[in-house]
Amino acid sequence: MILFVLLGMPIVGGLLAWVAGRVAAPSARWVALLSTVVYLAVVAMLWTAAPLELPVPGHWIARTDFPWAPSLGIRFTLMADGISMLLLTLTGVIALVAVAASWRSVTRLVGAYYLTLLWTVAGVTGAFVAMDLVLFYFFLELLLLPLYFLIAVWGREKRRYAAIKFLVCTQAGSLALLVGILGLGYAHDQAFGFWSFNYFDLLRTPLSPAMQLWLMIAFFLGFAVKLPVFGLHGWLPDAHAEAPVGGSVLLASLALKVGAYGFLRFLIPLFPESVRQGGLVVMILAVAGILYGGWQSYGQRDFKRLVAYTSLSHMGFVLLGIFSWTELGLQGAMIGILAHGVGTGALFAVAGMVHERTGTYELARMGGLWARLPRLGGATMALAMASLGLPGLANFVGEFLVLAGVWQAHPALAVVASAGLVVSVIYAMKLIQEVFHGPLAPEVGVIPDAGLRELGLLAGCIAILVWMGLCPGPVLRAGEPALRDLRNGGGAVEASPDWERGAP
Amino acid sequence: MGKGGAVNAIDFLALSPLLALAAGVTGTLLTLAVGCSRRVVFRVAITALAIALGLMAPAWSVAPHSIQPLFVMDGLGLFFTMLILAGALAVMVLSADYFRGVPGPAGEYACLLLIAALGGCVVSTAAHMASLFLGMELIGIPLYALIAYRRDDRNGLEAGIKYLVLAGMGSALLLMGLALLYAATGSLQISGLFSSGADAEPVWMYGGLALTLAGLAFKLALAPLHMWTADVYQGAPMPVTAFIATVAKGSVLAFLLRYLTLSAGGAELAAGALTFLAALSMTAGNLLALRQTNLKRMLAYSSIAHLGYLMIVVPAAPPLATASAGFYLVAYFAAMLAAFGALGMLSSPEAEAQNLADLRGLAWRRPGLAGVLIVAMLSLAGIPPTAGFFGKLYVLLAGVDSGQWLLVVVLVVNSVIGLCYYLRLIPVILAGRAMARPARDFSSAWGSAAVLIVLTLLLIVLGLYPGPLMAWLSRLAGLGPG
Repeated sequence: MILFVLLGMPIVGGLLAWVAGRVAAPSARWVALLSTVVYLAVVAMLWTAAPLELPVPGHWIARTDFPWAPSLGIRFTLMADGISMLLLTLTGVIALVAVAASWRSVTRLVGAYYLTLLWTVAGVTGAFVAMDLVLFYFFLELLLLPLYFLIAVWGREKRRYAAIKFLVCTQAGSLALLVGILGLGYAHDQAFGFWSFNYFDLLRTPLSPAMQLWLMIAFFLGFAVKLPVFGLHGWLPDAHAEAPVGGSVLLASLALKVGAYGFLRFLIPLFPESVRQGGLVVMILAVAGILYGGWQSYGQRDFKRLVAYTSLSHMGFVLLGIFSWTELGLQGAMIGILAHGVGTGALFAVAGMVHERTGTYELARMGGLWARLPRLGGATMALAMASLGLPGLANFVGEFLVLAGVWQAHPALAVVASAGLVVSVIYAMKLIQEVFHGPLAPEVGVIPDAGLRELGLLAGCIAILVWMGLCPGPVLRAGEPALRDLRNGGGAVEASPDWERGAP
Repeated sequence: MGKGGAVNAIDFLALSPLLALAAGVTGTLLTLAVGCSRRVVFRVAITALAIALGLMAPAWSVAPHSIQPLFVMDGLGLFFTMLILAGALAVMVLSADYFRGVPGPAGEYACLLLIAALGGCVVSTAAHMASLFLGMELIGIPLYALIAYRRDDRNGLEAGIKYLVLAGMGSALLLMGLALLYAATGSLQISGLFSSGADAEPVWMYGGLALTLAGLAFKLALAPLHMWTADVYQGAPMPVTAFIATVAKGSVLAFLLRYLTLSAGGAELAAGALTFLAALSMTAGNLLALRQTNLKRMLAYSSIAHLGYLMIVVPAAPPLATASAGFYLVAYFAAMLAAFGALGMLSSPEAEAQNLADLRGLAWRRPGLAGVLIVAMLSLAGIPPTAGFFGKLYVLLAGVDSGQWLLVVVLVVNSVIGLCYYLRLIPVILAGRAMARPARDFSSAWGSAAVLIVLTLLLIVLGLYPGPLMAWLSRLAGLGPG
């Protein structure tokens, strides 16, 4: 039940924010802020919950289940384990960051903006805890729609183009995923005589090698567009750059993670043999993404585009870790997801803050801002250090673990991927240099330094990155049981077939 | 008819909705003859439709009942009849507001629309070739006049003539096909057609089937028999377009679903042809819609594509296929009626809101209508949380279940294409506060507003909780016509 409450809270909060916005625009922000705080409180409460005794593999701590379209075996099933909890916490933190970062930058239709923001958060929440594949797909689509509106209504100059490109590309992948999901359900029907889309039922479904390959390709296309995997990343720079601040934060920190989660939770456990055969190809694509993203990032003239390409690079590390399917690699991917989420979200927030003060995102028109914005500059420096993987900050832990894991699987790939660590230094330093160092740009007048809200937001993110970087133990331990269960082939243990149908 | 050929009370009860409609037609004619105002005539028509809907309950209670040899009032047929009646009621209410304040006679409109609705009900419960043809003509002939109703508009007249000639040809094909099938099987009963296909002369059988399918495909506007669609939709008044897009197509589709999915012989014979029609319709419809800036033409081409999507289920096994198609049809009806209804509220017979530019900034002028249009577009595109999403899901499920992998892939690719033109409306609607043509004063058009609100709510509720409707349809589909 608590998961349902968690899901409903951003929805209700969004509606309240919209209503508040019609009454008085500033109040919408406070309502939205309150919603995110309550969301985090519920997530914190979930952390203290005791594990449930369920006859299915895995360590689950919460479950909501009721029939939805029972004639076709579709149930409304939400479950949370260690991985989900970590991702839900990330969602709560990022929601807070997004709301706080948009505090002053949104002036039109404030209520509707926060409604759209919070409903995206609801969609992401649902995607992270759905255990019925059709329901997961439902939430996957559901989070795309508010994001589309966020970009199309509150974005920058090329927003319409970017928004439709984003939606069409991700929808194309998602529809391939849908075919895969339906194909899996069909295979289950062939094998067991009834339709079911429950995650555990589908794990148990026997698949012929050809079927497994095709379904894996379908699933791969769906998640690869979202991650995005190198080659299918065309929508990424435009969508990130043209979105408003809150939209960029949500896109980079949450929407991309849903793709990674999809790989982790669904693709690999459902199709282990095909992954074993094709995994090397994906890992090569991941390494290509790491290097390409870093290289492209260096050449960008727009602040947000630069950060967007760093997303491609970092998610390459995450993908690499996941497909190495070693314990170290998976742990590294998990930390990488969290670290990138917080770090890049904060960087987009910084982009918004600089834009508020200088009116531009173009790097050529910035420069020497440290003289005017020492506190903001310092915070950005810390975030850039995190992005480039400085030891002591979370990203380093993630990347190091991933490389260690990949070394166990394919040493050559690890060597090539580690070049990514060098490339990231180059783009991170370029960012700092172009924005904060050098001569002061002539158009810059008197601008205020980072205020309490902005500094608090950035300090919080940096604190999280430092904490995860210096003592990653608790985070690693939280995700470890779930990751270990996934690695051991989630469906190997037989579960009682009547359980999922709500039998007492 | 009862056993001895006598009509008994149960027959009347089962037929009561259709009888109510027929009474409504007489009623409108009488009020017209007496010289009542247009508003009164419309009110009589709306009342007749409402009564017919209410009489569905007693008709359900005696279902399944067969009125030999013409009708079979089984659960599925009655469901589609109910859908048709609801659609016709919505169109009638929208029409009443569309013609509001327009000088000149329009009372005949209501009468003609009622006759067409009656034809739709006849087709969806037909069990005999005669009732099938009768129903199709009952739909078609009033449409000739309805399409050309705006006599001063060149487009309208052209559309009417086009439809007259082409629909006449379609009917001729259908009639010839039915004649050949009779020659092949010796029976005019449709249920006997496919089961006795084995011992029939193959030439007559295949020829008859091909011609019948061609005639039906014309009415359904499946490619390559779709050329008339865009011009007719554009030229007809907005509510008539809504009627053609939903009720006229829906009744023929209902007939097809009831028979083709249930008789294995028929499905196999026609499977290849239907696969071809489905794939071609999906692709042609979507590609042609991409280039359109006229909204009516765009929706016309997209309706071709939607019928193509629906054709996927025909080779699948009932009850999954029929239930999926039924759900999809409900979502399609609601979305099309909502879209045309919203456009109709922005239009008058002299100046229709047909172009994309007419929607500019609609979200600021008429936020309610903008919301209705956006929900309708999302449902047609198949994006949650609308009914169209589940409709597409169920249709895909039926396709996967019957192994129609090629059609499934074509559907998926076409859905992506469809996104592009459905979503094109949204930025235009949300555009800044541009000055566009002022909308008419609709403060008194509460009937249309109520219809649109109900349709939008239906789309969203079904999009969040599709279970009950799907379960009901599955139960109905398990007991189809024998």
